[in-house]
Amino acid sequence: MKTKKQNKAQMKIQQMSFMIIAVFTFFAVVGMMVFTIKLNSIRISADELEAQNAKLLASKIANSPEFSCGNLYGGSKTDCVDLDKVMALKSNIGKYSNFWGASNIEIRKVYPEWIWEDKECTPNNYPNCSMIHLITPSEKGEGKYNYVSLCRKEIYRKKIDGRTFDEVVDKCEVGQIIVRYGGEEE
Amino acid sequence: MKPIKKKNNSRGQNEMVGFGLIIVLVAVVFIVFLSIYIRKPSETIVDHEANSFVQSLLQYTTVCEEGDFENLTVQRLISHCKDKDICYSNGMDPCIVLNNTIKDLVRESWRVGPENYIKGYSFTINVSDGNSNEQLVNIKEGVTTRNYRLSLQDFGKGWDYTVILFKAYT
Repeated sequence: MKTKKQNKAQMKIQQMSFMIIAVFTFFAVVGMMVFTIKLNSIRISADELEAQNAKLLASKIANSPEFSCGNLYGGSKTDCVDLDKVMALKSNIGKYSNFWGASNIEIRKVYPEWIWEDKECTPNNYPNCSMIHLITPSEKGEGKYNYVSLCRKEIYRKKIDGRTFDEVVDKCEVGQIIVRYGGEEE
Repeated sequence: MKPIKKKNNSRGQNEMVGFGLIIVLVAVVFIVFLSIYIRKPSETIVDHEANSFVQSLLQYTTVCEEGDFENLTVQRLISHCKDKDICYSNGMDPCIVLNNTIKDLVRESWRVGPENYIKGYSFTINVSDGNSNEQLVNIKEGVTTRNYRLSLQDFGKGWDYTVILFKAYT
């Protein structure tokens, strides 16, 4: 009788241990699944944040005094690049080559669409051009971009009562500022 | 011998019922978690790129001229369209200029397509004077998805305000 009882108890213990293992395995599998899904969503969020930071960095350069429109174009504006100022900066870029820590800064016209081949801006063809490369003409390295307004002063010729007047007007277009890092190491 | 067998059977049945209850309970909890996860609202990101784009768009100089021969920016053109003014030099309707300019500008800046990251976009401008609302611009292109990059900008004085909503679906 004693052995029979012992056998029964052993069976019960075995049953319980199997049950505990089964329940534990089940929760472990479910937990692993939830953990994997969460980890994946965290990774996606981290990538998004990194991309947002990169765009903020490009904006930061666009809003720096060397690039920004200031109050020249009808009040204070954000994400506004003064192209006249950038052209002047391009002529003296040697003094600023390490100032922003970027290997290259590029400004590109987006709209109105430049239908001809990409044309680098020089003092001779400005403003009939599509892009400005500062620091170096190289397009190597990782580029971070953001949308900016590209403003400049333009002479507008008007005729009133047969007489011609020249008036300076504001002209703003839409473009991108592209900041590149690490081009020299590649 | 018979009563012992019955007792054993009923105990076994009780264990089975208990086990079944545990499984049902776990399944219910799992389904509740799953439904909460699935019903989670769509992912909306107030995006810096979209915000910068809308800011740049508002500053764009259009072909519509004001009385002093100065071309209007999109932001000022919105007011002209709302007030039903006309463009000074060419007599064009500012609402048509506004719609065409924004349509071209968004199309050139955000290329959409099934193979592109951006699958579609919508761009709306609503104006309100406190009593009535009017939609000046409503542009849609491509497909809409649950995830989108958002830019919501509003400006105005007193009861007059303008709301610009740009969504780029990814």
